[in-house]
Order: sequence, then structure tokens, then C-alpha cells
Amino acid sequence: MRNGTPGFQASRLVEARESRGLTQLALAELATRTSSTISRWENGTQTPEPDALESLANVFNLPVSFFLKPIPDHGDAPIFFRSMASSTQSLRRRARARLRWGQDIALTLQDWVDLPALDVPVLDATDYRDIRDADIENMANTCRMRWGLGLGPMSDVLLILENAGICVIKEEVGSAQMDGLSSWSAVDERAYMLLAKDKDTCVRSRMDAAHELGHLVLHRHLKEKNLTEIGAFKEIERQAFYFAGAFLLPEESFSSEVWSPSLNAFVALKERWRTSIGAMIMRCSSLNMMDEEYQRRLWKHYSARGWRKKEPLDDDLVPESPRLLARSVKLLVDERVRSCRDLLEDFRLPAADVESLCGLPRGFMSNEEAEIVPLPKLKARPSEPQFEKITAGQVVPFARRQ
Amino acid sequence: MSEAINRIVTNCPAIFFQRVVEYVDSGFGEAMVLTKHIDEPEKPNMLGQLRHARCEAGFRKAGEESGLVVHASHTIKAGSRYSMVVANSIYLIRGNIQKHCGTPRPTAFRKEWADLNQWLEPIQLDMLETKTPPPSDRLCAMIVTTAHPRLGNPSVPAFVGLGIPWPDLSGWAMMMPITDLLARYHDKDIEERTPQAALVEIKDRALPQLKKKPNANK
Repeated sequence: MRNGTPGFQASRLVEARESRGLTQLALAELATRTSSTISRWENGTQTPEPDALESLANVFNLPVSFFLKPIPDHGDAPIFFRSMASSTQSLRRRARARLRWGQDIALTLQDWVDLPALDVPVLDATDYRDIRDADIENMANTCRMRWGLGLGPMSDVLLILENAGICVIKEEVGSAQMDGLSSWSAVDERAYMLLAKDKDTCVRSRMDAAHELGHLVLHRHLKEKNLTEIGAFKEIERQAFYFAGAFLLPEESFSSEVWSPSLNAFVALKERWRTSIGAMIMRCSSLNMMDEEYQRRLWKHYSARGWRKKEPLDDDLVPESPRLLARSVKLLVDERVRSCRDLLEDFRLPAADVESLCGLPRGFMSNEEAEIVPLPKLKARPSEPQFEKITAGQVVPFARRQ
Repeated sequence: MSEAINRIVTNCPAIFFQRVVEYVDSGFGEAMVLTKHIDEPEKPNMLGQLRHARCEAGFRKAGEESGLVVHASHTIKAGSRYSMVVANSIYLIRGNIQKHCGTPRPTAFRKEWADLNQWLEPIQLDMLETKTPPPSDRLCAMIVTTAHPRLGNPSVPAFVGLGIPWPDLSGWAMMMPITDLLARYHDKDIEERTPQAALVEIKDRALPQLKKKPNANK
């Protein structure tokens, strides 16, 4: 009879596999087990033996203690994905697992630090069909008023969200198909969002953040089953986009600045409002500042200028970065409350993942320089004449300054 | 040429050009609807004539709605009537609708008004003869509208722009889409006006604080 590992959390195995973007089959191959064994471990009918658990931990580059840590009950609040229709389920699962790890880190940090108190207004609607555009405008204005933002362009959207107590994680998700996701956690009643860094431009990041804020504000009381209804996803996404437009470009101030809804005028406005020209066209349309035909023509010209791939100023405006989690870690380390090693043991995650999720500089947690990965080299063809046999690059030490 | 553009931007209200674009678009749509029941081979001719008629009407209407002086007087010698919108020293007329952005049909009326732009051409200096430079107080500009070629969408124009013709109508001294011209208004306005809503600077309150230990006061 085989002995399993007491305290093994099957759901942690699923989470680890999803966060690494592996299928059960791929994991079975890496762990030299059968896929049915992996399946039994994951559904909890069997637990891995200690040596198998060790092997799993090595495959995932995670500590063994990770698999023994119970998953907190984040409640039944749905997770909203801002992703293109072409994004795969595995990509979504991976992003969800990363968000959960971010939540784990934040929950652990809150044992030692107080994060800013949560101050997010929420719409009391349990059905997305009850939410009208006027409600969305109203909620966007409420957010602005409550956070003392007035009606002008905002200098830093991520800072606003973190000031309001929302935990923001920004990291590469490994695909251009995913923009972000957000969720409420029942554990600390706090809102979390993960923003993809893969297409990291300032205006895109701000729009993603405002979009996710829209979900958190408008759809907190929606149930998971709402999202599976036909047409629901599209409408819920539209509402979040509408909110983002209303939040970033308030009707009163923005519409008074758009004298001519032309592409050149929008370029001038982009620098000031730090919102994409595409989003400004959509906002003008939703405010009935242009008719359908005019809008169609603008999009045509927009495409003709090649702005679908890259808009003007995309390289000039600096992307925003979250700071709350990184600051919390640094505070604990600087005040010598916890060392990096202690924190890694608390988080039960490897240093690279913690650094990525918290937005810390690489090597901060491990106190190590970044690992240098040797790139694969083309093999020399035997038929080709070899003038000189070069085996590897030679490291030439620089002379020290005296 | 920027002087000419600045003069137009200073003298003509932006709303005039916005309305021109709108009425030219709707003029094409109306012509399309009106020729629905006309059979070939008369249809293309009628479509062209109706577009011209509706665009002329729209041009005058845009001028009236923008508070500018609008004429549609008889030509001398009498033969036709062309619309003209005057904004201080700017004389705006229309070119005929073509499939390209070349200069319009050189009618006597257009030639007469294009002649105002003599001052745009460089003066040939002559040591022996003194030439008086032509007066530069007036400018003629044309609304340029083109239709899509046969396979394009006939219900909307292909291009609506503003052209400043050379005095002999041999070409354009300057031409730009109306949308670009409107952007100039925007830029001009931005320079002159301080934005209504100031940039919101966010106070940094995203600061975690160490939890107080229960025995800290002891």
C-alpha cells in the first residue's frame, strides 16, 4: 500500500499546473507519471507520496510547502476577464491562477501591514440587464467625486486605484490575447486586478485598469451563472468599456474640448487625456457627438493611417506601474520585521514569482543576480569549411578602475 | 501657404466647414434616393446633376447657418448661377464634383474669382520695370468634392476638402481635407484657451503601514 502525503491540497496542484500553463498530459510527462495518476491527485481521490510531491515541486519550481497550504475561500464572486475572444481557456486559467497567487501574497502581507482602506463605490445590481448607461455614467462620476478627482484628465490611474485600496498586479501573461482580469475576494473584502504587461503602453494600461474598475464597481453582485448566459458576456464587457470611457473621459469636460472630432484633433487630445484615440472615438460616439456614418469614416481613416497596430504617442507616454505590494514587501524588509527569506516561506512561492507579481526588481527576494540563460547555438554543418574552431564565447574581464 | 490657412482659420468659423462636410454627405445621400426611380441610361447624368444641386444648396445653407454672407447671383454674361460664401476677405466657392482632386472645370465664374489669388504667385523682379504687387487683401478658396469611381459607394462622397487655386486655375496652391482644416481650428483653440479642466494630480496615499503590535504601548 502506498502512503500519500497528509495535508496535501489537491486544488494547489491544479493551481500550480494552471499557473505554469501545463496540461495534465504535459505534467505527467514531466513528472514521469501517468496522466490518470495526475488526474487522481488533482481530484483528491489519491495524494502523491512524499518523493512524488518532491518531484512535482521540482517540476513547478515551487516549494513543497506550497502544496500543503490551504486555498483561502475567496467566495463566489465571478472573475472578469478582459480578453479577446481568441484567448484560450488555458490562458485564462493561467491568468486566474496568477491572480490568486497575487491575492495569497496580499493576504499574507496583511498579517504584518495595513493596506489603504478600501473605498470603492459599488452598484447594487444583481442582474446586468438592470444596468443602464445612465447608471454607468453616474457610477463613473461617483468614483471621480468620491476620490476627489474633479473632471480633468488623471495623471496616474493605477495610483488612484491603489489609493482606493484596490490591489493591482501587473505582469506578463505570455500572450497578447489577454488584457486583464479582476475579482473581489471574500477573505479581506478587497478588490484585486491583474493587468497584462505584454502590450505595455500607457494608454492601454489605463484603459485596462479603468475597464477592470468598471467590473468591480458595476458587477460586484453578479453571479457566475450570469456570465454563461448567451449574450451576457458581450453586454457585460460593453458596460465595463462604457464605464472606462466615462471614468477616463467625463462627458462634461471632455465633450467641451472636442471641437472637431477629427483624427488630428484626437492626437492633440491624447497627450492631455492619456487615452487612446480609438477610445476617444468610441466615447464621442456614445455621447452622440458623431453619427454612425461619420464614425465609420473615422475608423476607416484610422486604419488607413496604420493606427490599429500603433497609435501616435504610444512610445512617448510612460506606462504606469503599481506600487502597493512592492512597497509593502520593502517596508517589512527595511524595517526588519521580516527578511526576504521569511517572506518567501510565508508566501510559499519562489522568489521569481513573488518579484514578478509584486513588481519588485529581479533578484530582490533572492538577493541574487538574474540567471543568465545560455542561448541555443546552431550546429556547424560538417560539409562547410571551418576556418577556425570556436567552441564558446570568451568572457573578457574589464579592467578595474584604480 | 500657412498664411493663407491662418487667414481662413481666422475669418471662417469652424462650424461652417463642419456643416459643409455634413451637407455634402447628405447631398450625396439625397441624390441617391432621388434617382432611385430613374432608369439607365439617364441615371448617371441625373445623379451628377442632383449631387451638384444638393451640394450647392448645402453649401449656401452652411454659410447661412454660420452667419456668413451668401450669394447665388447670376453670372455675367447671364447663363448660370453659382453659390458663393463670403467670410470677410475670404471668398468661398465650389468646384464641380469630379472623380479626382484636380482643378475644376474652368468656368468664367471660377476663373474670375481665382484671379484674386494673384498675390500667391511669386513676383518676377525686373530691374528696368517697376511692378506693383497684386493686392493680397482677398483670397479665393474652393470646396473640393469628389465622388467614388464606379465601384465605390455612391451614397457618400470620396473626399471633401478645401483647395486654394492658382490664379489661372492651373493647379492647387494648397489643398487639404476638411478634417485636417478643422484640426487646425482645434490646435489654434488649444493654444489660445487654457483647458477647462486642469490635470488632476493624484496624491500618493498608497502607503502600507506596519500593523501596531498589541503590546506596543506597554
